[in-house]
Amino acid sequence: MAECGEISVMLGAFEDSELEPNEMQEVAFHLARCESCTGILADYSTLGRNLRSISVEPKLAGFSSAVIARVERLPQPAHIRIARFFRRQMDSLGAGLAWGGAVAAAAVLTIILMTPYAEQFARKGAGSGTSVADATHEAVPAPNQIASSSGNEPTMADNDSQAVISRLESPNRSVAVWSEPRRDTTVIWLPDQP
Amino acid sequence: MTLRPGSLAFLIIAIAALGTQGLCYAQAPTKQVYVYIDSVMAADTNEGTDPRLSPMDKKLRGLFGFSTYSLIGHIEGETSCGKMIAFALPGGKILHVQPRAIDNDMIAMEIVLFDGTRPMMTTDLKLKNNGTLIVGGPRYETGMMIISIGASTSGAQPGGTHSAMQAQVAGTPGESAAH
Amino acid sequence: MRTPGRQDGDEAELIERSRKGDSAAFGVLVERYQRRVVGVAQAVVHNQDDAIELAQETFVRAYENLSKFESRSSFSTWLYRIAANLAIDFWRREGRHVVLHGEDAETEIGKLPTAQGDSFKEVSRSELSARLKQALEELTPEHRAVILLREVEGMSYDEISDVLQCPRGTVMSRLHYARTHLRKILKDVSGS
Repeated sequence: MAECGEISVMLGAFEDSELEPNEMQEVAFHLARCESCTGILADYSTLGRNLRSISVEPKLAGFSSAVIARVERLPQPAHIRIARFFRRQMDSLGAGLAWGGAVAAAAVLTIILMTPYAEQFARKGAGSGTSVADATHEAVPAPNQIASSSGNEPTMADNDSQAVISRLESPNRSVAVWSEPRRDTTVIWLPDQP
Repeated sequence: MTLRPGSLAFLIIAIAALGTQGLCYAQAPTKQVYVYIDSVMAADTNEGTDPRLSPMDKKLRGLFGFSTYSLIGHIEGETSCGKMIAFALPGGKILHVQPRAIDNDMIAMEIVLFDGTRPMMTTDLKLKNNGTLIVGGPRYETGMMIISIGASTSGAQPGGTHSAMQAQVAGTPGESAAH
Repeated sequence: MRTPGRQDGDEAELIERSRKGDSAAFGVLVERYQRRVVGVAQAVVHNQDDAIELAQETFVRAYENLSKFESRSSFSTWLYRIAANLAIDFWRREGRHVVLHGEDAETEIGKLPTAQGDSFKEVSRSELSARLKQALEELTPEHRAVILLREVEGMSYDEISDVLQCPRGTVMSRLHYARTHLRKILKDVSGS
């Protein structure tokens, strides 16, 4: 079994989930039996939280425009300066064209889509019973089949809850799953085995 | 008015092309997955519910019939699809969470719960974005442990505890730190 | 932690356009990474005003050297490396201790954990915050950078290794040292 000295140097990486899986297991196994190392791990967590709490979110208003202003003052080859000039002109023209084009496109599409229906309506008259609505059918998903192992027969999770379980394996003979649609919750029940 | 399909398509594309000049590029958001774990001890000791558990008090009382619910640990982590994140929980439990994909506001993930090194449960599930899964049953001190596992792609904690950073309740036991 | 696919294609195009002098395209890149670049610089120099200035300089340097950027590493990592190098050079050159300005010295008292049952017991939160900042100043820029990049910026060890251009093992040992050192100081504060 690993000693505290070996484990303590790995605690930070364990907290950060940066160890290999076998190392994570080794540390976890040690922590389950060592209050001292568990305390150190808790201290590292608290330290991290304290560091985040004293950090100040930077004020970035105007940052990008300040950078661009500096970048544009840099000496540039002539062809780039000319290209920039024309790009600026096109951008201001493009904004106006964009709106005009979008409105025109919407108008044309509306006319094209509605024309057949307008003709149909005019031809058949108000008394027609034609329905143009499409029926949409929502398939009711079948209850999830939960794979069982070790002779378990867990109950099934309902699709109305927030979780949809496709696989559940446990050596626990008494494992059960149920959902509470009214509470939008799925529960996996793992009582301790005698 | 009738138009040939080819001419019609050309007209639509031409107008749409004009319409898109000057529009900005949309940025594809980076899909991080934030995981929130609350460890709760439930017991029949008539001490009521820990104030930090007030957002889920009704849910706990409705699901389980205990008279006491105490928050014994709160831990958060951030990961991304394909990357496993491990949490050390009270009572020597270890929780591994590995998001697999995000599909239509459902987060597909694998969750493995260990008791030390012994796996207690492995499950593949799809959890609704900002939804929670409850795992309950393991014994803890004088009661039973309930683990609330929440996941979100937006960084906002699903209806769980008041985080340690916001609770202003005097005399409440300290909780496990945020990750 | 990046989403591959569309963002990479989008970014490659923005970089190409920026190389050709399209400052609007470069502006998109600036907005995308400004927060993190400032964070990297601040992890080293620990002063926000200096960090913002260094971050601006980072982007200007990046723009000037876009022709040298190759896609072997990601654009973000390349940016963060520039930021880290500029910040470390600045710190060594200036060699000054940071004066905590009013807003930097403020602590959000409600964010700290309640003391009961906590390892650090009953401590004045503002004292803890001030002592923690002082403890960070006592670290070398390299140790301060790894602990803040990890805890505040949330970078992985591989990312930190890339940004600071040191082996992953070095990142781990520096983190261990920084955590041990800060923990000891905070224990002393809580004990006093």
